[in-house]
Amino acid sequence: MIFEPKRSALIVGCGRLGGHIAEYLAEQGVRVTILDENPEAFRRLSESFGGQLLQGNGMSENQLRRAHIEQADLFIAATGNDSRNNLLAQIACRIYNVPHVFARFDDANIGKLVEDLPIRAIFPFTLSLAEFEKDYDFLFGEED
Amino acid sequence: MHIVIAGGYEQTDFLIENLKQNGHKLTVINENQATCKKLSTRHNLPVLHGNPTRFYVLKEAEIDGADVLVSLSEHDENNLTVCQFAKKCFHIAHTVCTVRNPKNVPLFQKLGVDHVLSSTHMVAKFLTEAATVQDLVETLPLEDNKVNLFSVVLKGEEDCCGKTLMNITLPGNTIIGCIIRQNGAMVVPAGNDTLEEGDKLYILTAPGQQEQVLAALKG
Repeated sequence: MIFEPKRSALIVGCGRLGGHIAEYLAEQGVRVTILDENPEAFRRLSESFGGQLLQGNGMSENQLRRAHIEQADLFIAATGNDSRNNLLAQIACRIYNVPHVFARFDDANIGKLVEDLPIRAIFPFTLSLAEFEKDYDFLFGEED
Repeated sequence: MHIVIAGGYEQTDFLIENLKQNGHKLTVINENQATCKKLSTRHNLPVLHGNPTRFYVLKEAEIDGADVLVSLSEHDENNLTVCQFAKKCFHIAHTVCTVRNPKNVPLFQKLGVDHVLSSTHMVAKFLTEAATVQDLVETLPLEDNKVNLFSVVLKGEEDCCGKTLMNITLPGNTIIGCIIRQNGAMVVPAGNDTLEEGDKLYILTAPGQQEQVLAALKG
């Protein structure tokens, strides 16, 4: 039997998306650290959540180091602010060389700023729209 | 030059005032409607109301190919977004921004902003330079810290006192630009001028060389 070292993930922003990604990764056996400046935000996590909760400002390099960004295999920028997520993702990718970086953006245009970088952009709005179009097609597609 | 100013209020007001006199073409974008009104009335200038971190606002502002973009948001991360959009999507050669957190100066430079300014950072740099040299009266960093101008008063015990300038060896990239004699007379020195007790010397040198310069004067 081979024991693989545990993957580790750092998530900044414990909103609906950050919180759910944290729960999902912890279930997959990933060592999860989640950082949010508002301690109230952690209430959305389930009681059984086994990751590490850190209260702190993700925009501060000290806090990112305290959250072990240097050892992270995955980094997820999931705050509610596109400019913050852009900055966080670029810090993780270009300064700390985190191998897998994800960033959530409301505005699909922000994606242009990271398109040449190994950063995976997640656009909730675009995904919702695609979902709607698929359903609409399914319901009314044959009529056209 | 075509200059774009995004965000800010007090600094924007000041910049517009100065840049307009020099005949530059200005594009001003601000997300605060009251600020837009004030700026536009005071300077008789169209001001675009919108959030400059949004691509469509920058597009509407017609800034493609502008020479300089200055981003003055109070949120550092917004300034990065605006400057990166300017570079990547609007082909603006020079981007300038201010930051609150002085640690963002080297970070934003690495991430592609051409000039990052932080008042705290500048004060700290100034104090570090000043603290390294005793007997130092003033230090003024110039040209992005490529040159320092500083002054020193000769007490009379230094080796250089009584010598002509041509007989004093200073480190490279250093020049005594001006001597203020004790009686207040100003001299732009030539090689045959003699240094005397009580002279105040204004010296231009490369940063980090001040101690060497002082050592050379002391002998």
